[in-house]
Amino acid sequence: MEKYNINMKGIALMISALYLVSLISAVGINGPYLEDRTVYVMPGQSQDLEFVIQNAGSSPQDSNANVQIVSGNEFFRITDEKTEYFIPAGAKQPINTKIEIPEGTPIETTKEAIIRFNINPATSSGGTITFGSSIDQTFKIIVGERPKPILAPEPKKPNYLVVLILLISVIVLVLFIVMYLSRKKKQKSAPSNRRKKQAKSR
Amino acid sequence: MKNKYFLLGVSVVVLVLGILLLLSLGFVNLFTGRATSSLVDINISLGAGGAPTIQNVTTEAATLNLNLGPTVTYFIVNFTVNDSNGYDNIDTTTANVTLEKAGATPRYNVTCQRTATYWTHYANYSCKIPVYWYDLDGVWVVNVSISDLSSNVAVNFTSRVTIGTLTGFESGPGNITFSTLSAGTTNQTASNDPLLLNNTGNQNITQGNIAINASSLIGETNSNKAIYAANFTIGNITGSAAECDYHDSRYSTRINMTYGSFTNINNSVLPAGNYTINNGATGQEELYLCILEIGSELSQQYYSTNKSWTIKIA
Repeated sequence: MEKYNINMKGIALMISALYLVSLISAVGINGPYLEDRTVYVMPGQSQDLEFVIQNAGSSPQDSNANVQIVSGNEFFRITDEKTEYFIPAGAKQPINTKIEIPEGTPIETTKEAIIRFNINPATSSGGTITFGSSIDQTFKIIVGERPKPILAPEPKKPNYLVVLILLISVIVLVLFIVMYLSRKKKQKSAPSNRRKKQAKSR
Repeated sequence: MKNKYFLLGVSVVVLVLGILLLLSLGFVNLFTGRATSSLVDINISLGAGGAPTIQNVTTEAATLNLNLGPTVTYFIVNFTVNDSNGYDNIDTTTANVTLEKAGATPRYNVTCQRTATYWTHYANYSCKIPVYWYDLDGVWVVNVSISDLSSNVAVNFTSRVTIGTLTGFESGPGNITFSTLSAGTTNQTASNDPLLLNNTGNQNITQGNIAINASSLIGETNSNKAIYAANFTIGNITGSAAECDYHDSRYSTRINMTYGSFTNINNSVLPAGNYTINNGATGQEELYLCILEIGSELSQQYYSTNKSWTIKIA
């Protein structure tokens, strides 16, 4: 919030100085953390939101605040009895609001909500310009439930252990077959060997 | 035939040995995705009992509302440490609390004090962590750790705190002066600007979200004379009266004539940050004012308005 004195004085057509005197101060709004700046509310349900006006800074001055819903008042309203607040220097002023979704409101109905805080110095005198601050808080109201985050399915790793076991099994099987065949070959060749031995002994 | 069996036997033995070798090297783990090696913390406890444990981590609030800059907000975390060797075995000097969030600068405790001891094994601690006005909104992890005298470390990161949004600004300097204004002159720039905006919150004010409205200054003696609001321009650079050149919308904006209607200040931004660095960029925006024309019809008198000029951020 700034307070400016504007004086224009001059001689004839000369305006010697126009000066704007500002008193350094600061205002700010604490708001709820809203993921993606979006509030999800089901039909027939409501949600309270609290904002806090802070009147602080290097040399704060008593201020007046006016709070208004600029957009989204179909669902969004200030629940305090007043919308004008006096905020002493250095003080904090909570502002209570509510989101209410009437029964029967279609799911996925979306409204942009804007709440505006206009803050001006409480006092001003003649020959001055008061320099005020205005802060908008904007968020989206969506009727329905917040969608659950979709987790990407983990890519299926091929089971190499099974492949390895299969490979070993195949090798072992091949070995068995080789052994079996060689044994069979040996059995076939056994009678002729016996005949050769008998011939030799004669 | 004997050679054949010999070769076969050797092959089987080599195959089995190879598989055993691969298994011993953790080859299978490469396929299964299991770690083949890992760092192992070995807690060595002297005396009876083991490492301490951290329990009952509590925060003063689940949601933290920050103070406007430059006031630091202190966040209090309380927790209990259980050490089977007795609370005297806990090394209080190692108590540490860190607030962490991806993409944000971690915040560390400035103090950690033992507040109570009970039942031989238990000690309560309270730690204070500074959080700054420009720290990101969202969910932060509360990471608590402490060691015993044998350097056994206990860690707990089960607690969370949500930092709320803070949207705010302050402007300065103490005064802005237009010196030696003559009726009939044009493009008169302020002699001691910029009008400095400091972001005293944790929200980035992006392009198109800083606006101004103004009302005309009316003669206090002769209200037929006025300096019209649309005679003012505001820009984010200066030099060669650049702030007056509203035809170049990159740098200058003509303030509207209609009261109550905000005009976005072209190309102005106010990022969240530690503006106390005061470098004209971090958490700051510099604005320069200009009066396009001092009408030749103006007379010597005071000019003022009973309606405020307003800077709006969103």
